[in-house]
Amino acid sequence: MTEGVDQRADAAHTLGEEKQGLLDAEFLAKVGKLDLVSRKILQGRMKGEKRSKKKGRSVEFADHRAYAPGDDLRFLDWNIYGRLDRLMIKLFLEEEDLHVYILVDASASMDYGRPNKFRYAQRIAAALGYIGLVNMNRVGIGVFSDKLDHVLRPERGRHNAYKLMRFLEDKKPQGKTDLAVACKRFALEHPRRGVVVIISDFLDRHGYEDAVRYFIARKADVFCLQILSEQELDPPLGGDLKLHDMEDGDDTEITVSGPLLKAYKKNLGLLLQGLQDFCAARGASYLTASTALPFDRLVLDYLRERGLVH
Amino acid sequence: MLDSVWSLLQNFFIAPEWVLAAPFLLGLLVILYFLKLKRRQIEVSSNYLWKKALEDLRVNSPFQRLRMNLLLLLQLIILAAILAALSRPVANLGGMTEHNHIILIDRSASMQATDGGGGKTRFQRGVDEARRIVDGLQSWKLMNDRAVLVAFDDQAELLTPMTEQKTLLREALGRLAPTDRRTNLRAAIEVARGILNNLPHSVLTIISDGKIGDTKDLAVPSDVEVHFVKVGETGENLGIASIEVRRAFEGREASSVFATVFNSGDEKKTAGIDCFLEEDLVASKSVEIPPHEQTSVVFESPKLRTGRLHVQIDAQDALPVDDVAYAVLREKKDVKLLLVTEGNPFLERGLEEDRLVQKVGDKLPIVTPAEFAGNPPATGLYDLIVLDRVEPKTLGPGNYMLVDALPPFEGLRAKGTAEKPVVVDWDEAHPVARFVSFGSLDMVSARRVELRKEDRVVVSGSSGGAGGRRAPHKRKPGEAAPEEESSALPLIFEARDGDRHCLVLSFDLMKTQSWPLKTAFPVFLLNVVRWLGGAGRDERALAVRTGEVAEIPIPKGATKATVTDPHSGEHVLALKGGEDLLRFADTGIAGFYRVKFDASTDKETPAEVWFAANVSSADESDITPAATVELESRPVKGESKAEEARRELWKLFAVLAFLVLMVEWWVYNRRVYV
Repeated sequence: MTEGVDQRADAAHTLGEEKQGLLDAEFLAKVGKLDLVSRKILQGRMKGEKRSKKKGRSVEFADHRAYAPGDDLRFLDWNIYGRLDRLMIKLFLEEEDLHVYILVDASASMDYGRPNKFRYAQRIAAALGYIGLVNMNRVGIGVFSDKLDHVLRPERGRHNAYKLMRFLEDKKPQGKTDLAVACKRFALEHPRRGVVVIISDFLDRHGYEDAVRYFIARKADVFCLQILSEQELDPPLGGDLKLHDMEDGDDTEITVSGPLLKAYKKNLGLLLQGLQDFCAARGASYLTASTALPFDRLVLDYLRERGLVH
Repeated sequence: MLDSVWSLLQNFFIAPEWVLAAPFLLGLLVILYFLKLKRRQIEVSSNYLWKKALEDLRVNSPFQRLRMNLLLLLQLIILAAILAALSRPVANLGGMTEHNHIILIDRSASMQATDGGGGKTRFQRGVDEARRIVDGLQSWKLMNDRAVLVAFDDQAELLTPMTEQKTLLREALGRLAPTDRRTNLRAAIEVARGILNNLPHSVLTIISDGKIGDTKDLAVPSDVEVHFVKVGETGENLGIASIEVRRAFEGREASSVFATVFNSGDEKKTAGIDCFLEEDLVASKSVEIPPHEQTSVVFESPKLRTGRLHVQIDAQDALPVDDVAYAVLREKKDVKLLLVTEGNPFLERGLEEDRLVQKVGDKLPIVTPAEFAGNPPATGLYDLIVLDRVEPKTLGPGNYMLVDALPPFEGLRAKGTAEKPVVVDWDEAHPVARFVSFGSLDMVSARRVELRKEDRVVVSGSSGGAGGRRAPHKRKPGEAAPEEESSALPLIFEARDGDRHCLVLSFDLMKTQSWPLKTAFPVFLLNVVRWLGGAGRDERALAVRTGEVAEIPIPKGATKATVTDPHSGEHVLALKGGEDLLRFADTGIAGFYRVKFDASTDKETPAEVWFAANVSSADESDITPAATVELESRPVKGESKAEEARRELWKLFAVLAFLVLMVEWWVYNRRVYV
């Protein structure tokens, strides 16, 4: 156990030195101890590294669900039937190698804010990817704008960490956003179920609903991580301005006033709430993060609280 | 319509043009705001949330935008406040009452002092104060403040009628210039009182340095608000308080110049006094003048014969006008005198001794009364005829001294005689009484002469039995003669009738006990010769005080005189026939005046004459400003500024503009929105 930790720390150190910009060694050492968690029972192609824990077919108890005809009768919970006279099937967590898909929004709108949203997204993707690789999960990454621009095929093993970092590091945000197109394409290309983390600002004129639906439909464990800068959450604007849209170059003339700011914030709130409600209704997870929040705290605290990592 | 708007605005603003400009400028700001060519461009990740917000607010309507823009609102307030400050708004303090202002402005010589006030003279500051009052007059449609301007020195001049037209008042103030005259508030108050009659809500403002003479007996109605605006600060000044040219005692040609220098300051001063004849320095003396005192300087030089002379203090002080005094020296001429007497050694000796009296082969022309009656001299042949105990039946035009005789003037008659009369008093100011003491005049008897109103008593007495002996009283100038006594027994008096001018002694010189033997007698004779014989008159006419009437002998044949004042202003005067003296009163400026007659057939009287006018007043040279003016036991304290009928508020608006600017800056930086 101690050895394992040391090995991880070493790897993290090396990586940190090489890729100082994205993740530092200290942080990698911290996240190396974490693991990605799927709240759903997922099917892996190979047995994962925790396979030794499994005894026979039985795995860790997860939940009950109502019996449906065709279910394996061996999993019926007879105790409940005896007590409540209801047929319930016991569900078990299966530990398999987890597919982790990380989709990073690299549209022009991500190149905004201080700290930069795209940089922030890159680092989260890197951190999550690293956690996945270290824990022997298959980590695949897609970088998209209005289409799926780049894809890193799912790989496993920490030796792929450097590749992953370099893949992420190379990308520059550009183009418009079309979540639906990119996600559809990615879902088709990656039919395996797994954890899907969408890192985006979700500022898509066409809406985000279709995009999320493609993964939900495939029973993936979807995690929507919305990255917004402080400048978007509370615009520090005043006076008469011409707002230039970074994606489509559209100009809007505004005169900043109290009611206008209020309306903006209300609309932003509706967007966030809408995404949250949408995700909640479909069993997906959701988290909005401001780039003002220190990146390590997001990964080490917030994502942990939300159960993405543990 | 436009005029009435303008005059209405003038009630509230000193510069109303800015108020008229305000709508344009404010409108321009709003237009500029809408037409703002360059909005600040900001990149945002996506403006679709903003678009939605705009749609929500429907802020496309211009008024909505206007309403919401706190910065524009603040900028409009700032601009409005700046415009308000520029238009110099005023708060009318006088309330809604019509006021009648009487503004008395001192323009006397002392007002030319430049003490304090940034190089401005007292007069200029006084005019500024008057202008402030005029500016403060309110004019409404039905109710107008009115004002009248009175300038005063030793006389008062009504500059405007009682008017509500500020332009008229301002023009009058613009034309007003200081004079070199002395100050006398009395005349101005008299004028003001005439105006004040039955005027409600009257405000009397006296703008002066307070050297305005005795005003304690001057009353203004008690309901009149009186203000005294004091201009002037210090009293440090040197001035020539008097100048006199006298024929030198020795030498017939040269003159002596007497000048007195007054120091109105609180410290002893030493100054050089220079005497110039034409432009040449003749003499120079250094004098030390104690504070608040006068020191005399005498210049004597054989050069002082004819020409224009001025005496100058060689020092800089606040009031330059009194640092120079002018005099004209004229060639002296002898007095042609005829003595008509049966024999009077006192008169004969006394007149013969006088160097001014023209002699015929070293002898005084003397005729007997019979000769005089049989062959009266032609008019103008003699300057002075002395009639000793000769009662003339008729008198031709001319100057006469009558001793123990009365001129044949109507209304002048003797009613018996008084025995052993005593001198009660004499008029010290009279030219014949100069340097003469009549206290030793002791006659045996004198005629009781009943005088006419116009006759002027020089020496009066009372009969020894009636009034009892009293110490003779020397009357000061201006002091009224005790009427009862003077009318009772005039001993020496002056009487005029047309062009006959007489000095009458109502007693016989031969019947006096010792007076003709006293020093006073020859001096008295000298005075008579100089004054009545014309020599003295000439000297007097050559130098007057500013504001006094100059009397210039008119040569025969002249019909027109041109007087050129020291500022080269020409006054053309038409002469009436029969007058022998030109009386010129417009002597408000100190300096030399040239009088030129168009023709002269008279050898004696020149066609061109110079005379001088001088401030010559210790009161004017004493420029110490008075703290209060007392009007009939109503002291009016001096104020340094004219009572403002309205107060300027521009500072408030300037402060407001500044504060709102600060708020705007804060709002801009803190992004506060309404």
